[in-house]
Amino acid sequence: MGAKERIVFNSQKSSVILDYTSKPFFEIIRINCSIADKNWAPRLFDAQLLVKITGSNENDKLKSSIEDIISIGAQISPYHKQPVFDINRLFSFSNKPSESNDRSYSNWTLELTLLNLNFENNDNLTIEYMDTNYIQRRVEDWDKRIKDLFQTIKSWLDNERRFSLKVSKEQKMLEELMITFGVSEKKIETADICYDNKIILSIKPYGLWIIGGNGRIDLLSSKGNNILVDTAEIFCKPEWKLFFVNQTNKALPFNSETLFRLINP
Amino acid sequence: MSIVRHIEKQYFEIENQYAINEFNARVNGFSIKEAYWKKKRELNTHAYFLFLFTRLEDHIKTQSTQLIQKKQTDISHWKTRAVWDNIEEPEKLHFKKKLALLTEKGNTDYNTIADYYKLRNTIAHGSTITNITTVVNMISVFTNIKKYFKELKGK
Repeated sequence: MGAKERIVFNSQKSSVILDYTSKPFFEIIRINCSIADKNWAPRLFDAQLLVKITGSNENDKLKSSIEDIISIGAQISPYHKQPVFDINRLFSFSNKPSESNDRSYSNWTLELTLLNLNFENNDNLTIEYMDTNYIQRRVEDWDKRIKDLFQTIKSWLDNERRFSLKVSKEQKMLEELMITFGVSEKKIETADICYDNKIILSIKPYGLWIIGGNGRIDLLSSKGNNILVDTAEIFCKPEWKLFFVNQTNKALPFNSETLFRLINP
Repeated sequence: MSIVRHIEKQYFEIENQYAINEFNARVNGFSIKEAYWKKKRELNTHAYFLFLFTRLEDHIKTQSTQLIQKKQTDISHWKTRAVWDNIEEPEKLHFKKKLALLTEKGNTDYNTIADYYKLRNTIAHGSTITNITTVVNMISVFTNIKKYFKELKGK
């Protein structure tokens, strides 16, 4: 269900601070530990991860923190070199009970500190997480990819006098992960391709977080629906593939040729 | 034609018709109707996803039960067989435990099916299906589930 962010702790780094300009939600998904013992004597791995979220206002007069600790432990041996811990815990900042809401805060920091773990040179511990900033970046990236796609389609249609692309009504985007991580809804553009000023194809973004792709756009016409899926890795240059709904096993690269196959009257 | 292919054909027939209706509403500037058909497509997708997943659940239940019974019968040494003998009612095992007998826990297939299972529970236990915001890409779901029917075998 989408890639994650990563923080790597090692012998040089055992603490990290992340900044937020909106109330943070932070989910630790998994912790992977990689131990590179030379003599491989079995030993107990035992550590704690401290999660501290601090909210403050602009002049730092108001400040409040919450703390939580995750304990992780495993027996390290030649047969168990890389323990993996599925955490799946969501942390968020909560204001003091005396404060009616958290609007008084304008900045937040989240500090992750690894306690009681002495790393050897090549040891490391990777934390896979998702947070409000990451979800926000994904949403902005989706918005940009859609705008870029519309520009590209426009350039394909430029030489065809009777065809035109009209960027039209915006639609609301509010997906499940956005709700979970406190990211507010976003208006996303839709577009129509016209032939002699009559709409022949509607291009409507359907969703960003989909299984097997980095976003899906519906191409609606009087013949039905075909689907565009971005098959590139997250935050990489998009690779739009066109799926014909009645031939789900086949995907074609989306280019001017495949577009004209869809829209030629 | 397999049950999955039947469901796939039927789903896309309905999806396509609703998509045409949505498009026609948009062309005519009927935005309420356009939203209505969009919502109908979402509901249809969730309904078919649930229907499809129950077929996979049944397949996993059958295959894991066969595997357990086979182990209980075929393994002659009591010590090796004991762990299998302890499963007295295979069909009552939790879904994820049945799944872990057929594919490695934590691998891509296991994780994808576990994600589907979570979604299935949200839909099945949700009091208001209209509030579900999860996007289901049925093209991937059909492709994956056809693969799981072929690959998740107890024998």
